[in-house]
Amino acid sequence: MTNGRWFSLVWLTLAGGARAGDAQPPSIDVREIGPDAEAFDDRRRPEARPWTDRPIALEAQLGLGAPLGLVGVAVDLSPSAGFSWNLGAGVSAHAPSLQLGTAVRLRLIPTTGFAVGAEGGLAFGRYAEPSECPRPDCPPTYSWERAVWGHVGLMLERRSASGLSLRWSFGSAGIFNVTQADCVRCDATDEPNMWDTTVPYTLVAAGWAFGP
Amino acid sequence: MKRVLWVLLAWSSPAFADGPLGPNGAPIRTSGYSVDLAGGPVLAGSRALGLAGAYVAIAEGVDGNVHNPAAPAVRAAWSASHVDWDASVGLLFPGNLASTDFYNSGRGRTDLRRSDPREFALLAPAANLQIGAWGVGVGLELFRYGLMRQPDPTLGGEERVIRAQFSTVRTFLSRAVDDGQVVGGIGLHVTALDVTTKDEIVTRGGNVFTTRGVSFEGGMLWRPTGERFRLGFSVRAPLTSDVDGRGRAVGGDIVLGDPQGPDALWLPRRVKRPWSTDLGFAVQLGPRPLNVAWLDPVVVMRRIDDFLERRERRREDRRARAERLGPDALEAAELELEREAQADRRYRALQRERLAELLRRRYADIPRRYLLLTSALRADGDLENSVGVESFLQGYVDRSGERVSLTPRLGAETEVVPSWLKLRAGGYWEPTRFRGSQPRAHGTFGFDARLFEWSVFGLLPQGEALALSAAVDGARQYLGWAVAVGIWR
Repeated sequence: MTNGRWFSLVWLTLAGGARAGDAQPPSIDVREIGPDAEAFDDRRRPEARPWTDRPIALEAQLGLGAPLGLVGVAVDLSPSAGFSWNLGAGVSAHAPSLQLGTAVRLRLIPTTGFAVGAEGGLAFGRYAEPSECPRPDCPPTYSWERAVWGHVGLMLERRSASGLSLRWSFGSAGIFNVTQADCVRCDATDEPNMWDTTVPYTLVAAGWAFGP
Repeated sequence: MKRVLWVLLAWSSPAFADGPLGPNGAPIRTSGYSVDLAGGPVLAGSRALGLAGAYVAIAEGVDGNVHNPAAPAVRAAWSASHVDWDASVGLLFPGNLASTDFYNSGRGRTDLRRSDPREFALLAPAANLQIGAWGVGVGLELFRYGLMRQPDPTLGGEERVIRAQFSTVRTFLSRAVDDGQVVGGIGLHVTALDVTTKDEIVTRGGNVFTTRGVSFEGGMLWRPTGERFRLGFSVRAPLTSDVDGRGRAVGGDIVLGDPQGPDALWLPRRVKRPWSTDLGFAVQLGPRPLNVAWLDPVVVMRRIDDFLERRERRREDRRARAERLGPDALEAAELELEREAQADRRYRALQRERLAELLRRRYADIPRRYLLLTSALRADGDLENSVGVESFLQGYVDRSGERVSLTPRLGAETEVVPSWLKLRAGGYWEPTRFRGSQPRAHGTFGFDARLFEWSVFGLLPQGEALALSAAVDGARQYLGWAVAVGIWR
């Protein structure tokens, strides 16, 4: 009697379980894997919606050693959750001058509304190393009327469904056109090295994202 | 002891040191100069060479690495596995250099009169590994010149070889997004000039002098699925090396041999590679698509894997419930659950096989006819107090890189006999980095010919055919070539 009851319970348990899992498993859909397949790219991922719904952002930037200088404004275009292109202008901290910059970013780990990624880009503008020195044996210092900076870094980004866009970036930047420098206290053999111009940078960007 | 004498570094006073580099044609009598590593003809595998180096917008395989650091993550149309790889080895011998004006210095054939013809000039192994959307690449470029040193007449002895090695270790990390439609990458390179007494590369135990530097580069490729074009660009930071403080020479001039003797060689304190950029555009005409979406089998299978994992979790729940009911119930449940689990495993394996077969068939069904047109424009920055490699080896000043140089490239590729023969042709305008020379036009030609099916002792899947690939690059006082055996695609 007892065994029979157990058997019934087990049978019901198994049967119930079997019914729950009996849904037809999905299979490979030939239509999804053609040469022009787009079913799996980052734009189709559910977590991509904050960027695909609102691919354009206008943002203000505040930075230290940043490509756009101390403060800047930029437009950010994200055709997908995986990639964005940024173009902006700003003002450098010392010897205030216009800085123009462009950058691309890959969102390496996009989740819903958040992303971790890498960025790299170029910026252009006047730059001068501090040259005031009271001693007679000071090292040479250099200045560039049009310095071309290259930068690489990492970033953490937030884009909400309501359109709020926040980003924190940090990395390193150096001057590419080192030979086009004007020098103070140089002799015939002194010359700048890009690594001597390399500085760390960090910036925060805040803005509003919207659809086309 | 004699060996030590021959590699002795003569030290001069600081006042004598770092004297300015003299005018062109003057003997180099200072270490206050650098060697310019920019410029030169295309040194690449047969496809990139056949396309005249217009490869920044193609960026496939290890040949793409030096043009675009995004290349390691770029999947070719035939790539159908989660993990893939590519590898190559390049070799160039001094005999090839000495019969040409390799560096386009305008001074006739490249003069390596100090060099031992038995020493190789270029060894360039490279490899890429692709894991999902990520790619990593590593490569070595090693130019070695065996410098013949005359013995001291007072001591006698045989002529000895001191080796000057320009080496660049390149590492790349790249990532694709949107099924490979956008690919970005960065590269980190260590470039060094080693002057060594030993015939070895790795330990550098015989080094008497090293100058070393690090540089970065970045690049992107845009290859929109279904479109006929690609756009690629790369930017490289300038490289300036410094004398390695661990070496024996850290200050003053660095002279190989007696500074007063005719055989003395003033070594450079630096090697430099200026900033450079590549911008390229490619378009493909004909029925064959240029940008086939790369599908990661792991991603395509994810929906099935997720479903089967949910079912596995439900089985775990059922097993737990049966366990609570007692041993008999558990035994009965386990039999049933194991049967279901086996069925799921079979289903997963079948779906994976089906996907692999569909991806193979997808590539095989792509039309073969096409005409690929590709272009690139490279810019190399300017340098100060630099000479070319040839000038350094000869010990006479021939300033290099005084102006920004531009190199336009054009290439075309087509499959003239579908599934059997591809032809390539192209040309590029090689600027000169020197005052006394003129730019020269290069013409390139190459082909891929299908050979026969062979699994190479089981290394390749059945049905794969081998291909012979070759290319030549001709210009005024220059002829380069490349030959390779690979898999027919």
